[in-house]
Amino acid sequence: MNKKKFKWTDEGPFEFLRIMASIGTALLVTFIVLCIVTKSFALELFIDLLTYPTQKMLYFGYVLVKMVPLCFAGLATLLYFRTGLFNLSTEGVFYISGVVATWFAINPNIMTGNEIVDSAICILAAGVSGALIALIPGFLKAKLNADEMVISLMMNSILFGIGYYIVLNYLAIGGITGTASADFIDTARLTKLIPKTQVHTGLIIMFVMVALVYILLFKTKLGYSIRMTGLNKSFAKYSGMSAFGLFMTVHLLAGFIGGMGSGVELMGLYKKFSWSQLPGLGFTGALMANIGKNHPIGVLLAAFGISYLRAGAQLLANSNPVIDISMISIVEVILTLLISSQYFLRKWRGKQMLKEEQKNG
Amino acid sequence: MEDIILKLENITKIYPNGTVANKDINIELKKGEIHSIVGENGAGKSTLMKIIFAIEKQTTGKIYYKGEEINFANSMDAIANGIGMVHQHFMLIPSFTVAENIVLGAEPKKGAFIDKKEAVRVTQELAKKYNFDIDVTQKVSELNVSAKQKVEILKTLYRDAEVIILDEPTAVLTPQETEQLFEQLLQFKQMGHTIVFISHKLNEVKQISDRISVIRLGESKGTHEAKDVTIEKLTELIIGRKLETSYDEYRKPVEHPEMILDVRNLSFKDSAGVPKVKNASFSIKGGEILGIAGVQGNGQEELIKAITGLLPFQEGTVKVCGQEIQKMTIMQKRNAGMSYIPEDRMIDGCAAGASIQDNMISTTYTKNTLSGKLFLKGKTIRKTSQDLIERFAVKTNSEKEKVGALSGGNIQKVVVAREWSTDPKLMIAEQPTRGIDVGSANYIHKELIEMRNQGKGILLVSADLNEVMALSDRLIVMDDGKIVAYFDSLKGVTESQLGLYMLGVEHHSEEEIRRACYE
Repeated sequence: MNKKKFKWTDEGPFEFLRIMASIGTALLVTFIVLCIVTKSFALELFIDLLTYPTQKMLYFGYVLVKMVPLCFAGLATLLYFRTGLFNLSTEGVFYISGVVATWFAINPNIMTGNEIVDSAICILAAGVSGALIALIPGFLKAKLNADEMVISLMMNSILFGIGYYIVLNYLAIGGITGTASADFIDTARLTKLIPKTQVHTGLIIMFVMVALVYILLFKTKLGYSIRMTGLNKSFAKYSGMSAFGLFMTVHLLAGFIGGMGSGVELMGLYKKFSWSQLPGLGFTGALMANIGKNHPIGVLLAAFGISYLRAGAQLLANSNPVIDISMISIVEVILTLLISSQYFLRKWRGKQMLKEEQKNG
Repeated sequence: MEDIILKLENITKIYPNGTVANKDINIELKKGEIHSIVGENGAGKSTLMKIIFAIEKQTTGKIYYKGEEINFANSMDAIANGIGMVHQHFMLIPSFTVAENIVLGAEPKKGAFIDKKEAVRVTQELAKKYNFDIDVTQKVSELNVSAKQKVEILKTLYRDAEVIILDEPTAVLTPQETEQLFEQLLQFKQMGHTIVFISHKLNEVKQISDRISVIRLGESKGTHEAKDVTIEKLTELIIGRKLETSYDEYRKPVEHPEMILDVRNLSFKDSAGVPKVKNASFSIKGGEILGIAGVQGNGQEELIKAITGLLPFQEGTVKVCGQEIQKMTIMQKRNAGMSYIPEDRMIDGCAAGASIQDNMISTTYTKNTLSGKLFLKGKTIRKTSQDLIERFAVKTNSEKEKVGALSGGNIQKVVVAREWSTDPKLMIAEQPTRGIDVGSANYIHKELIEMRNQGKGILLVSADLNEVMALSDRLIVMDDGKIVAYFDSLKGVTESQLGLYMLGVEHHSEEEIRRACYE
């Protein structure tokens, strides 16, 4: 086994190159769109888009705080994807776990008055409820081999309906029907991490979770069986791994992470529960898992990148009426398309390798 | 040079993942010859055929057909120009009749509808012209393997194929059926067709071919007149070194063997209730290889799946070292000492997208040498897989390389290495060398014999008669789900003799077969 020379056509470096090229292409398209929309000062706007978030600590805080739920949803979804399950229930889990967290956070009988204990109770409650809810598609998949995508999508609507009903009828102030819950008790909310920004201690929890998922996937027996099952289910069965137990465990864990993400988001950023529709964070999880190549670190970077672009676009939209925030979804779409595409740049790699071969005779 | 029908000039193919499958290959096919292409697995034969048949596009190089440079857009184009291919895995629609399958895609029409009568007439005529004995009104699902192959060949003839590519056509045939196929091929040759014959079986290649082209590591190693080249010479060209052919000197007697596997009255019905294994009984002691011969699809696969637990069986008992295993999970069976090299390495045998290291430990990672309660022992695992890579001579740069990037032979070595590393009492080897090169196959054979010498029991299933006969101490033959013959020694048993049992022409008496259980 001799050491090989570093080559851009090797798998790792090539993957890196491909992602960079994808980002470059996506930004180029954004620039072209900006040119079409604004005509004269497009370059200026383009630079603004990319640099706005770094101009003030407050702005950069937006990036950090917005990446937290994206990252949580991404981690939950990547566990499903790694197991070979196309489960999108993180969306509904986010909603219903948020409702559960709210129930705890507005309940003076449960809240102790200690900041750490109270926020921990709310976040863990959200996590546990998420885990239990995720067991439903998990069980149906493991026992009856029901298609997890269909089930999870239908469940999202059902969970939203139930959750919204509970919020309106049981969690609103003094029993009066409203569109939002009563205010969270102060001690339930996460404390600020960086003064004069919105950044809260949830950011730390997020980093811890990324590390934990990394360890789970690559250092534990469970993670090993997750990866093998995801790559080849027949092989896992042949090797003696039990699909039933594994599916249940994965759903439990992914549901827990999703639920936690919801709890962290609410307790960190909100004063009360005010989601009157599905927040869309769970679906973004699939996007994160995809761009992040189903790797925890990748998801972390993807969450940061997307959050950065979104913050930039939002700030640009605030300062310039011509720009629509939704413009940034073009970048997201192109990024996803190119990064998840198997063929992007493959031809180039083939040609490079051909040259290499000919050089070596 | 009028008689050159197809000429490949400097064909190079590099796959998107960077594999260089073909490098500057030059081959000329003469009109009306049988031209064999031989080479190790992963040498690039299949890629080359795919390029001729326009399934893949060459990276560089030119193809001349009937003197003109051609550039087929796709395989339809190739077919229309008179190139036909019979794939290793048949591409037939089981619920259609033979005639319907043959005309599929170029049906005789009556108005807007398919003229079924005309289809039957045309195909009957075709079969007669080429001397095929086949009932074209039969459904393909009712045909046996060799008849299905005939349909595939007729399909190409129906489209006026002048060049017919046969990919491993004899892999699924008995010796008798192979003879029959060869007679037909010779007939095609006389009628002016050009046959490209791809096979791992060198004696067949030598017998049938006019000329033989050898490919090694993606490069052509010359075209030889079949009559001028010996099998030994061919082997040397293919693997680049000499090779011994008999394993007898490796065999060592094992003293006081214990009973390893005891199968009694095992019956298996598939999900549709069709009996696939009927009342099979046999046993294996330590230090012996029990071979199962038979035409593929006669219950061997189901028998193995039933024993290994991939499919549940309905009746009978299976004991491994005295333990009844019917109700055990696969994990429990493995813990009881069973190990299994599966028939299809890409489906059951490995996770192509995972590293070699990950593939090496899938059946051992729960053992306390490789993992604790929760965590894997990364360093030990790396060391273990490096050792296995070295021990089994897997050709790779690193244990981190993906298994899917290896050649078939090396993937199989990974599978064998992993199953070996579980230190089993019973090794079930199902088609352990199917579709892999001579060198790797030879290596795996020696490993199996080595395990036998260490007192392990080995159950060997193979469609390759040479393999079963070279390795087995005892042999059973299966036909139509039943054990039809038992040999307690292979001395003096010939291939054609076995062929008669495989085809169901002859069978042993009940008493003789019962001896397979040591009774």
